[in-house]
Parts: sequence; C-alpha cells; structure tokens
Amino acid sequence: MSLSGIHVLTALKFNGFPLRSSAGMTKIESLTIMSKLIEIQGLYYSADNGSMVFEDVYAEFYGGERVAIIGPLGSGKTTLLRLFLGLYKPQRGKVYLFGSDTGVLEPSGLNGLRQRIGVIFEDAAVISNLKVVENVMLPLQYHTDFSESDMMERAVHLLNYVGYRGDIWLLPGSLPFYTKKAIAMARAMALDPLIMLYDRLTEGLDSYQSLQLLRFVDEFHKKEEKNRLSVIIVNDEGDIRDMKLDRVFRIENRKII
Amino acid sequence: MSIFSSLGRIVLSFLYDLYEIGGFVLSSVNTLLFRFTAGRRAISSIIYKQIYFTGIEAFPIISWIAIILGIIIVTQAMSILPMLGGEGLIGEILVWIVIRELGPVFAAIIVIARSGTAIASELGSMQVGNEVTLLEAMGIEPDRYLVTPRVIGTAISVFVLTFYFEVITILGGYLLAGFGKRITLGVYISSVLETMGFADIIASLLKSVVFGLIIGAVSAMHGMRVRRSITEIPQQTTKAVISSLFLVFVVDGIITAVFFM
Repeated sequence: MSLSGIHVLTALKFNGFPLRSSAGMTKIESLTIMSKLIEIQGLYYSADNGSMVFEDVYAEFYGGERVAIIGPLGSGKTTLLRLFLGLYKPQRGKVYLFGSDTGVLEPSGLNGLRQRIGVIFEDAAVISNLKVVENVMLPLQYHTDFSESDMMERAVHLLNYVGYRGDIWLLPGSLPFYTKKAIAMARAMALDPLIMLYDRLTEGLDSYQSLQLLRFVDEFHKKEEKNRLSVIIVNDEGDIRDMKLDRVFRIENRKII
Repeated sequence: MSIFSSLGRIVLSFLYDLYEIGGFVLSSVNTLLFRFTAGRRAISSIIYKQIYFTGIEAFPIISWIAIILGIIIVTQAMSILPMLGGEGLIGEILVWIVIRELGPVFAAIIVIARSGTAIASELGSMQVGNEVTLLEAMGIEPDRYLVTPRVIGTAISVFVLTFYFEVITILGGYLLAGFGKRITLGVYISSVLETMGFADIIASLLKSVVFGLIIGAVSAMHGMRVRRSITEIPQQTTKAVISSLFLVFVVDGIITAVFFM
C-alpha cells in the first residue's frame, strides 16, 4: 500500500496535525517554517552513577534533514534521545526543542511539544495490555478529538502501510520482534510528527527486515511534511550503509562531532 | 548502626510512602473531578476495564465467601442467642459484625488478593518493558493515564463489592443457616433494618471507598517503583499486598473510632 493511504483524514488537518491545543502547541505551528528543530548548547550530562556522559556538547538539527547519530554501546545515544525529549534534564547547558528550552518548560508545555515527535525505542515498547490497533490509536485517542471511526481508519491505514497483515485485535506480546517494531513505527507516525526519532531501529533484525523498515523511514520522511527531521541512532558505521542520510554525527569522548 | 537510626529510617520511609500514596489518591481524584478533558477517552476506557476486572469478575468469589461467612455468623448467632434469651439481638450482631466491619474489610482483602497484585505486577512489567517511558515520550502523563484510572476503578469496585457482600452475607446466611429456625425471615430482616443506623451505612460506605482508593494507590505506587529489573516485580507486588493490608486495617480502626467511640 502506498503512503498516500495514510492521509485519509487530510480534511481534518489544520496547518499540521489537528492536535488538541495545549501549552507550546501554538508556538510549534508557527515553527513549521523554522528549520532549527533541535538545538543543543553547552550540554553537560552525567548519569545517576555520576559518570559523565556528555561534556560541553553543541549540535543543531534542522527540518528536512535525515541525520544519523553513531556511537558505540554505552556512549550515550539513548541518553541523547531522552535529552531531546526532555525525559532527562541536563546538569548544565540547554536543549531546545522547537525553540523552547526543555529544562524550564512546565510538564504540560513539554507534553505539547512531545506530541509533534514520533519515537521508536530500541525494544519497540509496544504497550502490552493494548491490542495492536489500540496501540496505534492511543496517541490519537489521547491527543485529538477524532471520532472512533476516524481513529480506527487511520490506525488501520498506518498498520497496512508498515506491512502489518495480522489480526489487529491481538495483544502484541507474542508477536515477532520485527512486527512489534513495525507497530511501534505506525504508532509513532499516528500524529504526523515533525520529528521522528529512531533508536537503533534495525537492531536485532535481519537485513531484509532492516531494509523494509528503512524504506518506511525514507518514505515517511519525504511525505507531506516537507520540514520533517528524521534522527536515526545506530551503533556503528555498518548500520548506516543502507540509509539515505544528509549528515552523520558521531559520539566520541563525551562529545558529538 | 544504632537501633534509633534504623527505627528513624523505617519511620521516614513509612512517612514517605504515605506522602506518595496520598499524592496518588489526591491526583486521581483531582483528575477525575477537574482535569478530565485531555485523554478523557483513553482514561475512561481503562477505568471501565479496571471495574470489569476488579468488580465484575470478582462477583463469583465474593458471592461464595459472603455466603459461607453468612452461614458461619448466622449459625453461631442462632445457636448462642436463644440460650441467652436474646433472639432479638440477631440484627445488632449482623449490623455490628457484617455492615460495620467484615463487609468492607473482606471486600478489600479479596480485591487486594486479586487486583492489587495484578495492578502492581502489570505496572511493574510496563516499567521493565520501557512502556511507561514511551508514554512520557508521547506526551502522555503516566500518572494520569496509568495510575488515575486504576485508583478510581478500584475505588468504585470496592464500593460496589462491599454493598453486594453485605447483602449476600445477611440474606444468604439466613436462607442457608437460619431458615426453619425459630426466627422468621421477616423478623430477621426487620431486626437488621431497625438496628441499622445512618452512621452504620455511612461508615461502611466510607470505608469501602477509602479502602478502594488505598488499594489502587498503594498497588500502583509499588508497580511504578519497579525500575529495570524483572526481579523487582514480585518484590514490589509482595510489598503492595502487605502495605495495602496494613493500611486498610489502620484506616478501618480510625474510621471505626471516629464513628462509634
């Protein structure tokens, strides 16, 4: 199925996806023409055990880019992703998301910004007590006023798009890992995000499955939203062989270069 | 380490737990009453599921236990009271024992055993599976989406189960143990109704709601305390059961003292 099938609800769109208004949302809509979506300034971050993960880091990520961040295991890639999302707060320095400092935002403002970000964790993190289709519907159900039938229609289209052909009313616990990642991808796409964050997307998959998912990444990056930023986090150079990228960052010696 | 510092740590830890449980209860009630717009459909759907699992699915076991308890109480009362010439006291005994105490406490114990453990282990598994972090990353507050519906659903369930338990214990007890004895059903029922005061009803219902809030909040708190290791799940589940039981008995004592001393 082509990606065009996803946008069955185009009529409901208003300058981006019709999310329920919350603090931070108005600002994002005006930022769709601004290209700097994530900015890191003088970031210092140490883990709970006290070990320094990032030291005086500067980086900027722009709309329209496909970016990879490479680093060995334990170098802080997932930590960086969580810093982007405001899940971790830096000890020093700033992380700006859509121009807002995540360190000083109220939880409601931060949640508003997160609605414009699609995330796929390394372990997929599919919600185990929700059925497959409910997983994809969850962000729509929580953040929009779509009717049940509209949400269902969009969720089914997204599941079809990522190649899910199984029973949509299954609990996802027993599904293969690739399928869980595909469901997580459909869920991340549900709110038509401006930023897509992929944490070790191809980890644990064979080459055919990896290529499949990377094709979806590529298609979704280009689709509809011209200003979309895609950030793909990987372990080593070999993982980016099949990716179409604009820039590659490396995490080395607690810095991003 | 001195015994005083150990004792101090235990007290501080207990006070911190109380603070956190109170926070969960207040935030759940606040969400339900004043902040129920964002995520309303998603939260409502979990409340319904929680009521189904904790309330509706518990009816068979509640019925059996209520009937057996009713038989025991009515048999004992019917065998002892006539010897003392106090047949008319059956109503007092049932109200004092079943309505004031055993109804809310038994319903709470059954819910702790069935649902408290399930809530703690389910949330613990979600923590280990990164699902809670993912919810945060999607802009969904875990406390609102995961804790509130479980606390509210459990409170509603314990409230309904307590009322049901009391009715079945009183009626079932008479029909199976008291039928055909010297006390007729009419005398039996009117004796219960005449004895039952406003304070008995309010105390029983208040206990059931507070017990439900406590069980939901304590179980959710322990589930959410699981971090990255799967071995923490059974540990926190056990703590959820023990803490819930302890707090239910403490609050039972407090409410009883306030209403009946």
